[in-house]
Amino acid sequence: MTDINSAIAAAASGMRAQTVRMRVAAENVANANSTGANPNEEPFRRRVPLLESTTLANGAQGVEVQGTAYDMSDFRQEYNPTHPAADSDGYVRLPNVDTLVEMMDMREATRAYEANLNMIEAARGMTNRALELLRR
Amino acid sequence: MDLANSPFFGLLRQRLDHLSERQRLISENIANASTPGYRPRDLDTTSFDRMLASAANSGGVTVARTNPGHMSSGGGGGGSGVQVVTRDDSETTIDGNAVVLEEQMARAAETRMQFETGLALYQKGLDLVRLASRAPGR
Repeated sequence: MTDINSAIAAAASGMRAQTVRMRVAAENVANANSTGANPNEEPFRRRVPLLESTTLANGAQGVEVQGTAYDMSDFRQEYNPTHPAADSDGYVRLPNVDTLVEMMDMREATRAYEANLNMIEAARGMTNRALELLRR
Repeated sequence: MDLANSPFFGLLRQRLDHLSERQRLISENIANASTPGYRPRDLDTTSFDRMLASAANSGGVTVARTNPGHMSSGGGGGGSGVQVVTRDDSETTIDGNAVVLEEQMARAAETRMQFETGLALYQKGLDLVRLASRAPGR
C-alpha cells in the first residue's frame, strides 16, 4: 500500500506545480498591458514557470516548480504618441505577453490538474476497496 | 497453515503489489505531464508475465510438498522480477516530454480495473476459507 500513498504524494505535487503554472499565467494576463511610466522604463516582462522532476520524501518521482524565468523575447510596440511612455518616434513598448498563448497554457494546466486529481481519486478508491477486505 | 503465503493468496498479493506500483508510476507520469524532458515510466509487463508463469509453476510444486515443515515458496517464484522501464507515449512534445495525458489515464483505468479484479478474487478466496472453516450445518 505504500505505493498507493506515494502515488497520492506524486499527484499532489503535480497539482501544486500546475497551480503555480496557473498563477504565473494569470499574472502574465493581468499584466498584458502594463507599460512603464516613462520611455526608459521597461514594460512588464512575461514570465515562465520552470518545472523540474524531483524525488519526494517518500521516494516518489514528483514535480517541483524551480521558480520562474523571464521570457527574453522582444516587446510589442504600439504607435501612441500621447502615452507618457512613448519614445521620441511615438512608439510605446508593451509587454511581450500574448494572451492567446497564456490561455492555452491555462487550459493545459487545468487539464493536467484534473488528471492529477483523478489519480488521487483512483488511488483512494483502490485503498478503500482493499480496506473493504477487513470489513466483511 | 500460512494463509497469506499460500500459492493462491501469495500470487494475488504479488499481483496487487505489482498493480499498485504500476499505479504509482502512472501517477508520477501524470504529475510530470508538463516537465520538460520527462519520459514516462511503466512496469515491464513481459517480465511480470514471466514471473507469473514461474510463480504458477512453483505453486504447483508447493502443493506436492511431502512435509508441511518444508519451506514455503512464498507464494511464487522470481520475487521482484519486474522492472521499471521508460515507455514513451505516442507523442513527444518539442521540450522532450513524452507524456500523453489521455494514454496515461487509460492506463490508470486499466490498472484500477485489474486491481479490483484481483481484490475480488482475494475476497472470494477468503470467503472460501471461511466456508471451509464453518461448522457443518450452520
